[in-house]
Amino acid sequence: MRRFFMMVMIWAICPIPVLAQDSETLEANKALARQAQQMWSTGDIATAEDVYASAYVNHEAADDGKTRPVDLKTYLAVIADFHRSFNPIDVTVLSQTAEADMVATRWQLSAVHTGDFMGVAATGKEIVYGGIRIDRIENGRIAESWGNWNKFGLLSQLGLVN
Amino acid sequence: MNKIATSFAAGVMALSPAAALAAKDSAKLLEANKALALEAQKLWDTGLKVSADDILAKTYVNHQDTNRVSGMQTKDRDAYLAVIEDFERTFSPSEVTIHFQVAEGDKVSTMWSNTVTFSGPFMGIEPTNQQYTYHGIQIDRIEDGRIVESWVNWDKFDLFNDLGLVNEPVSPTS
Repeated sequence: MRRFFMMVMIWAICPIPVLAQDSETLEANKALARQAQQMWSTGDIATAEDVYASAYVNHEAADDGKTRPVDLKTYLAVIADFHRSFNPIDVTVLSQTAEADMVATRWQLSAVHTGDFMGVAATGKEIVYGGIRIDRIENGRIAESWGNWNKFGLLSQLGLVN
Repeated sequence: MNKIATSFAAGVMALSPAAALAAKDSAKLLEANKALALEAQKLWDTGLKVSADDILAKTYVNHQDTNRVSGMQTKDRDAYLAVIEDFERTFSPSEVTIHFQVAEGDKVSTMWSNTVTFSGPFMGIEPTNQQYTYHGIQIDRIEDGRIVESWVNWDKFDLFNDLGLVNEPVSPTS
């Protein structure tokens, strides 16, 4: 009886640490990806080194059909610039899928146009657009991202494209 | 001690195949979901013939945030397949490349690019037979072996810009 009890205990307990370790990593990776999105809301780029590897590369698709890699410094400057044009900014994470070292995050950003943006003075308009970003995580930091977002929607809501 | 060791060994033996099978089943399911998400991208490839019935559920809905108005635009299965048919009349051949996939639970995120030739009239402009490549990411939700829902973002701005359909932003200060 006691032996049976032991077996049941071991059977019940053993898989937990094994599976928990995997799902813990995935959850930690998701939390890191959400933290990266949150930085767009707060504009607090001072905490960037907690989130991004120093060798971080952001691959934004370019109009020549290739992706144009941007380094961390350049990427953070984009966030800082955006905060000079829009306030407040609110990013909502709508869904995430994580596997191995990758996390895909679908987000939506809403903001009020309060400063010069691409040559257009503040309109006070509220803009909303969404995107999906895939982050690769290495040693607890985001090492690389690929993103796609509704640039067409943002620019047309501001009257910048027809 | 000996008893405990025996129990432990027996426990591990009893557990291992079960845990391994469960892990294998879940890995198998994720691989099957990825394969299905890949099939869904083939719907956009003019060189590959796939049947939408094998891929998309009857109740399928496609959400895109690629439009000029704010928020998501949702299309049902028929409306979505009609978009693909229209697309083929304008952009043929069209070749899809899958870059990578991220799968978890019932969802698969797929990063893709599409290389197309501008072969038919589009929004009032004549075809140039020039080739363009654009990228996108699609998230598919799978239920009973069919995709029931997708969310897509793609470089509409860059494709339209390449085609000359976007008036370049003009800075009043320049």
